[in-house]
Amino acid sequence: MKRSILRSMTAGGALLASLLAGGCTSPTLESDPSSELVGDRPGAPTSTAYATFDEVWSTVDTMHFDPDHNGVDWDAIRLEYRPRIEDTRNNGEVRTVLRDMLAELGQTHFVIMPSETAASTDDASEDSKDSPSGEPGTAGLHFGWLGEEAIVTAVRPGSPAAEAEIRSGWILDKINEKSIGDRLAALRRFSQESNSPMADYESLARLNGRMTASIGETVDFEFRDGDDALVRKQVTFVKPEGMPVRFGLLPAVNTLTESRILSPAELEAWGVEEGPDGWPEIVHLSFNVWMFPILVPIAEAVDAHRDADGFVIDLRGNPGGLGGLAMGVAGHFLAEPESLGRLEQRDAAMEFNVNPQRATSDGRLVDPFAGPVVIVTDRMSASTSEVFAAGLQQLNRATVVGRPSAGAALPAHLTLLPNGDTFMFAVADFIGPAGHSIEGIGVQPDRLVAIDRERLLTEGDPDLAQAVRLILDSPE
Amino acid sequence: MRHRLTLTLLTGLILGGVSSAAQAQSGVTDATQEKAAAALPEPKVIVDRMIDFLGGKDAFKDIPPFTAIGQIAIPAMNINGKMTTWTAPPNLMKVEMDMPGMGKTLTGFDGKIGWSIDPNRGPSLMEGAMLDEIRREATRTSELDLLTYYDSAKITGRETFNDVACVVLELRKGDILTTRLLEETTGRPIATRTKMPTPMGEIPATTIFESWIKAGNIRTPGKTIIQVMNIEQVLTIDKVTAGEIAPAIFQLPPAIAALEKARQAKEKAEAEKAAKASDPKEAPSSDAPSAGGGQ
Repeated sequence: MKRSILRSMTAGGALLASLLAGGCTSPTLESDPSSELVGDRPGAPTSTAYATFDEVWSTVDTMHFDPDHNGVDWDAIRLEYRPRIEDTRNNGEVRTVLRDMLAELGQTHFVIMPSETAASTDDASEDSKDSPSGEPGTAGLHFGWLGEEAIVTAVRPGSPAAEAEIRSGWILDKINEKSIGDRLAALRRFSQESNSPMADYESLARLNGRMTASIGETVDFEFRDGDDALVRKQVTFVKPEGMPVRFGLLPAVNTLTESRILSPAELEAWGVEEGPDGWPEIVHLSFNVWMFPILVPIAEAVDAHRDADGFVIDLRGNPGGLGGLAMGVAGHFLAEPESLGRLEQRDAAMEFNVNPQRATSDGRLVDPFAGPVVIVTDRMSASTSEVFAAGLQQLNRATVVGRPSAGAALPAHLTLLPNGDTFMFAVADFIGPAGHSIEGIGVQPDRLVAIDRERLLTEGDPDLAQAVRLILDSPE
Repeated sequence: MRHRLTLTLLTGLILGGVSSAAQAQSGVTDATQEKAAAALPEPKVIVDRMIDFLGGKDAFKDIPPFTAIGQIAIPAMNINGKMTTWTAPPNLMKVEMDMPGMGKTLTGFDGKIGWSIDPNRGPSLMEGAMLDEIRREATRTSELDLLTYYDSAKITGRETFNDVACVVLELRKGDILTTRLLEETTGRPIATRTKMPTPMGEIPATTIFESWIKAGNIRTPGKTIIQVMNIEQVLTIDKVTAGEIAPAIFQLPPAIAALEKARQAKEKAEAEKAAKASDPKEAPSSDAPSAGGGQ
């Protein structure tokens, strides 16, 4: 893992997370020396520095959905920040000025994505053919915060972590024999003291992004188990499952959609008893990002289980993607053509109208799934995940379980900048069916499930356990 | 003009999470003072010029089936796809768009049924204003009856658009206002502004026509730029071929055929229910309120 375990930010999930959150990021633990601006140095700004600044400033000036720029005097901001470009000497320093300027807006989805980001994702798939360490891998672990400590909140079935018998509720103490407590605590404090509207999202993204190693690398983890005994586990990172997909200017992302019937063993562990007709059929549907490859597997999952007792749609860790896809997926769960909400620009609006999916591609007439739907969210459920969850929740079609979502639901555009970077900028507000914006607020769960060590240890996945109880308690 | 239906596809899928940035085009400039002062022409004069520009009335009499192959792009987001359009008289149309990372989207009109299948929203039948719109798009002679199809047609002024001196033709049908900018001297269509009926509601859109090419005896824009919600889509025709098109091309896909069958069954059931309600033999007893409200 080299020294990259606390530095690597190029894992697929973390990458996308940073895409969606980077506009409001708080300082990193190890600040990038190249981004520190020092005056009176020899040289001059790069040839594209001023043009890049002007493009970003004027894009926000003309395209921000709020003509008052969220109450920020945008002309004054230009006067304040443009002179700082004179002190920059490379693209990294220009980005720092731009990010500081964009942070003044206090909103999500204003992000400068370095040109190197796209290149690195392109190169990754090539490198992986020859180099075992060229591409970020996965261990199948997900961490959350328990105070200032990192606690295992999920272990992916069949993953290296599952094979190593790592359990939810264990607390991480060391990586490769080095204690990480101080650094994690510092990271946690950064987020707690941050003014960023997405501080929780960012700290979780960084926490999990830094628990990444390259494919083929073996990492020594040291945990405290349920009895607080030290447990040491060696885990070899593997290639993440899923399909790499690229759409327009977005960096390639690995897209994974999974559906399964919750097993009797899981249900039993959550206190469910077998009924006279057997075990309840509850479908667990999860996908890691909102890109087109999710659509066919979701349609197939719904089609295969139209008579199921319920669907759990798991959006934990899902940072969003193509916003319009919320309509497509909702079409499998809504019987009437209702709106998930309204996208509002300065002088135009668009309803996110759902088309109930009533025919399959082979010409069979079907009904959208009509049974109970529970959506699971956490602080890393963002953007399109929030549009979808808020829409179905406010239409009384789904119950939301877990933790509040990120509160980052501004529809955004992308554009290339003169220096080669990509600029993501919000162009609209999203108003849910109940008539209020989700930005900065997030989706509030109907049933809050706090990170609780005891429940993680006993139930493994308390969110899913709660979702199952709600489905089984739903009226017929 | 053709191709406007494509915007319903892309507006729906792009916005909301990540999307393209189109440069806000400010091609519209103030009216020329001198021109504005001159008397405005009658709508019929300008529409006749437009028809002459498009090839003349006779050219519309015997339009062969056409297959057009081209591209669809969102330049600001580096999205490029392929597009094929099939049209056949009197009003058959099908458009297939294939976008990398997204898949195929189909839109069609078979003379009666307007439909679309997109990878996101699935199969759907068009109704109301959208059905009217695709029917107009599929009818190749629709440009000939502008003055009778619309409830009103007025030349309301002059405007310079992309350096072309235009007259402004306002066409109103019901609540929908469509503004066409036509080159005053030639009748060449320059741009159209309207609120497009889409599955996501009515959305303001500006469509710009450029690089006119000949399809048989009729002129058609080789390049169409659609600006909608700050996204700019560019449709380009690379090749137009005249000749027979296999009937199967225009056949309803299985999912659409199933939806149409269900719709017909529903309409039939509703008609039977209504007929039953109005049949005296089926009427409620005299001491019960009548269907008319118990008078």
